[in-house]
Amino acid sequence: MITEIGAFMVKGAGQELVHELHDDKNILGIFVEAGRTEDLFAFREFGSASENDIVTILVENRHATRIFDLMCSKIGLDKPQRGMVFQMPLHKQPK
Amino acid sequence: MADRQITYLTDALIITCIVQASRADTIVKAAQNVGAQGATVTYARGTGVRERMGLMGVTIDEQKEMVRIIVSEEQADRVFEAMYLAGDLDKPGMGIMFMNKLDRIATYIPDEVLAEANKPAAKLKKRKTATRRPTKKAKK
Repeated sequence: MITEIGAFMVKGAGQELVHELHDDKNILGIFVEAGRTEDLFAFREFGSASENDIVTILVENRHATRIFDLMCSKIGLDKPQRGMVFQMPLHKQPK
Repeated sequence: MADRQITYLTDALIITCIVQASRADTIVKAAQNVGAQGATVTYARGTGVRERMGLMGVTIDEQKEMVRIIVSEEQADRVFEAMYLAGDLDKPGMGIMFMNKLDRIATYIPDEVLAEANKPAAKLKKRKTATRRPTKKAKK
């Protein structure tokens, strides 16, 4: 079973995360998008919004907790305004 | 991360809404009006319906905006409906939206909120809940 782990984080942190997880053999896919957000961070660059990165990682279920915790640690979720990590199941499996 | 701990939150959903460019702000505002905290918006490029609709396909903008909102289970339907109506998704070619259940979420939770949540249920004050009486059926 494959699961998807997503994360909203400050701009630039996504690329750093990709760089760090690049050699992890258990990660099936990793994608970074750039976007804007209204509630995650204290600083506001554009009116009420600020720039952020959205990272999506595809990983097998048995490695999900390790990767999830690793992402939490890298983002620094023990401090406020750092972002959010979430996990959701993927029901349709690739052949 | 040895002395730090992660608190996993459950019973949440992610709402994803893909609409034509520049419509995201209206949708985010509608979601916030019914209780959503905020949203993350990204740009995307769409294909498919554009070729089949509009005058030579030019009236449907291929530039899209993708809105992602994480909400609790109890407010999910309300936010979803508000976003749907604000985005005019009942009209052809306006976009698509969907909702996925999340296994878990992690984010910063202030210590005082954590302490409150970890209190035994007996010590918590009973919440007043609004009850609605069943309406009488009109007699013929």
